[in-house]
Amino acid sequence: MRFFKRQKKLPALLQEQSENNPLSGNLEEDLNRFKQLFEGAADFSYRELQIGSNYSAVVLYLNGLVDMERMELNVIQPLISRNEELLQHPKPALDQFKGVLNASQVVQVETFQTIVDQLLAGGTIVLINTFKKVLVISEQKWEQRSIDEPVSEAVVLGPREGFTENIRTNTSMIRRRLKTTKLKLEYLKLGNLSQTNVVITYLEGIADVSIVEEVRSRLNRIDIDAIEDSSYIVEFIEDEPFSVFPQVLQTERPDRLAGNLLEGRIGIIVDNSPFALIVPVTFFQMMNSPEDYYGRFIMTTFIRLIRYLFLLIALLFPSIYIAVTTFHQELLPTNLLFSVAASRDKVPFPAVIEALLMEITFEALREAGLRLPRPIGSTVSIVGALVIGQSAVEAGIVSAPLVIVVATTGIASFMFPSYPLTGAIRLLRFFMIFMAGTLGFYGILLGVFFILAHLVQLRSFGVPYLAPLAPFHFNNMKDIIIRVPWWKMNERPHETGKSNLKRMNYKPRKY
Amino acid sequence: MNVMRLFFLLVITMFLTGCWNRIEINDIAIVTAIGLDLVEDDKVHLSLQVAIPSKLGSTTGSGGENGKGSLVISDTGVTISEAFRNIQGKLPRRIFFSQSRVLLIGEDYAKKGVSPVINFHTRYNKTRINSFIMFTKGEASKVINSMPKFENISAEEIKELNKLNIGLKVYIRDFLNMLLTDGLEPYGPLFTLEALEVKPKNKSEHVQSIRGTAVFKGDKLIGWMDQLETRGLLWLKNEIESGIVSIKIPKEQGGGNISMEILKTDTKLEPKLKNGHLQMNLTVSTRLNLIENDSQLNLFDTKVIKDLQNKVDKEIDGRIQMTVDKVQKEYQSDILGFGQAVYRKYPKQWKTSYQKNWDQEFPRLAVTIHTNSIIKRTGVTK
Repeated sequence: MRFFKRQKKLPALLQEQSENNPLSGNLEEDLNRFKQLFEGAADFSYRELQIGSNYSAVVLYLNGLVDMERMELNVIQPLISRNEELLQHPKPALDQFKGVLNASQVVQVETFQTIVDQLLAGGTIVLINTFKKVLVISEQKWEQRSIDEPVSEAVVLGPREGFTENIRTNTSMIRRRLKTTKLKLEYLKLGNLSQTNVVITYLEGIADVSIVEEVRSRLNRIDIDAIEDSSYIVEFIEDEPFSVFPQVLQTERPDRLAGNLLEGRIGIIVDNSPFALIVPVTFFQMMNSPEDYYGRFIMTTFIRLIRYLFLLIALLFPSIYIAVTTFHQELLPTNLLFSVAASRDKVPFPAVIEALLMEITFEALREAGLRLPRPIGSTVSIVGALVIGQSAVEAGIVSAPLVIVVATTGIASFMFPSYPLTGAIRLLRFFMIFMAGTLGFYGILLGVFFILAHLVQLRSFGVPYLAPLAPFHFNNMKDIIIRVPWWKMNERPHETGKSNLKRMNYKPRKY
Repeated sequence: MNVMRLFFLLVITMFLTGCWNRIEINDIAIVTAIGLDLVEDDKVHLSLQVAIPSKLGSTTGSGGENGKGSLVISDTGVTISEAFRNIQGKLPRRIFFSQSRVLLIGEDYAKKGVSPVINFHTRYNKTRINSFIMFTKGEASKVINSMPKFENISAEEIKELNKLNIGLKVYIRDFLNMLLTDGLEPYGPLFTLEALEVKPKNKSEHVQSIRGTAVFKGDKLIGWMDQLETRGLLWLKNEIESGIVSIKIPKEQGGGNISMEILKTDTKLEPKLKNGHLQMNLTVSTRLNLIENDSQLNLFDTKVIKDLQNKVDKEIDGRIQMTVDKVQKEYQSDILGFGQAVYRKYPKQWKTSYQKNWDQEFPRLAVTIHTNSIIKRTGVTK
């Protein structure tokens, strides 16, 4: 564990040097200060204006962050057009200049550091001589992705919009779904250089206050130069960073986030990331797809059962195959054993090596398929299917049953709605293959035992990972393996929604 | 650090279990059937039918399926395990007993006593006690060499044949039970090769068949029963699952034959002790479906049906009586389990007066048979 120990004292983090000297009021002098600060930044632009004969002004902005058209129309035009009332006034206040502007959001700012921050965030700064304060106009506009269908969580039924990289758009999508003052959106900034906006969102009165406080304190503990994606935060706030299991749910879907807020969970939305985080989560939540709540409940229950069955297959199928063929041949029906034995007859490797070979090849194919540019992506499938599926079997290097096993496992591992969970299962599969290859079914048993022991002790923000199964709670099982109809889901999950359990007034139907 | 050390110890103990054996599937010789014979010097002649996977597997393999899917390999030894060791010396793969579901025992070996093989099968952990045990007239090694017709391997056919429940079906564990139980002698199916067609012009091919019973006294074979008597044994043992009862209609009633299919039978053994006199009551209830009728009888008449039922009763009575006679008079071996029934009903009397001399009591036992047949359906045609 030396790798994780702090060995040397590193120098302090690179900080934005904060200047607190106020503005002088001398236009030339102040402008030079800004110029100096932004030296070498090509997107720093300014424009000097003459207002009447007495006043001159400078408009500062960062190119590309500001809506030029609206700035021209709402800021520059009103200032330079002769405004009689303003010009005849012997000594107009800054407020009067402010009144001239057509922009909707204009504030007066005094401290130098705040001005710089506003400028960096896309504000337009108007410096007017003799004034020590400036006007900051928010007319940001930059190119951004439009709202798209979420790629990683596609559904057939249900809303089609997904989060974008813009935090404003994202919070608005939540607000549109929960039009209540109980919905809280707490802003904070993370990252010394990136100054990333992060929003903690929860429903007051439903979310557990202590968990909200815990989220706040864990987020505030992060002291890093930049947050480029919400995934950075995940690793900082997880309870058990060395576990393979994800303890934070990442979602692209505003409806999913809203649904989870209603269950008393807490959302973390990060600027520049289309993935919102949901804490605390349980294992079963990772196994649920958002579509589970939109489809008919009977079908959903069936699909969920299939999903759990394939969870076992994804985790254990190759290892069971190895255990049976190398340790427990008596378990197979005689005719099946003949088929397996016949196809394995020419294979030069032990079953474990064979399985590892195929599984690693499969992982490589998957990874290559992801990385390859889309037009040549089909090459991978052709090469994969031909080389591995057919040639290897015909050449007698791998046996046909194993190809079936690996293919089934491959399909099974992509059935889970949570992508990080898929990774955990894939990784553990190799562990199980190793256990089965050395100890047979006994090894599988040990492996499963270890995994279960780990899962049982795992917690996400204090909530047991296997709740409500591991601390067993029968009434809470309505949305775990089965899904009861909506009109029966009258309580929030106990592990997160304890402070306000009741969800609906159930009225018996009279028709 | 103590906790870590404790955890480490705990993990180590998990790897300390015994019985750990790793062997690849292409390093085992899968035994499908075992044959046992007696040769000169009282030596055991062990024949193993071993599957050859490369001849069995997928049909896509090039070259087609020439040759047999199995080979028979045999050797002799003083004991079974010695013979088995000797065979292993001739095989490049490890002999794997766990898939073997058929144990064939030759007549000579059975006459000498089967307890060694039963002992081996139950004591050795690789062999299965849910194998089917069967006996052959003559040498078992000849039967084991027969060619399969439907399956890849003849042992599979034997297994499937057993599962049909037409003849007797005896697992090794059943045989062991019968051997060890007081008041019950073991029996097993007779396994033979029969001609495929009954009256062929050329010499017919042979096919495996289970017909008849090997009757034991203790662990020694004492005689055989033919197919009809075996059916009677099945009635008595309550193991009839399917079958046909045919009745000849006498001339004065119009002649012809009527066949009925057995739906369900139930046989009860009830010993009665009266004034120190032991009697055995057999109650056989049968339900049948009439499936074939070429007589002139009007089946819609309840009187006719009643008459038919009486005839069926007589028929069944006759069959059972024949078996009981054979077992009681000829073999004098209680394979019917009458002694067991007595023990269950009158345990005290069994211990005091019958257990010791049951061999003498059994042939003298009075047996009465009550049959009760019901024809459930007759079909709709006249």
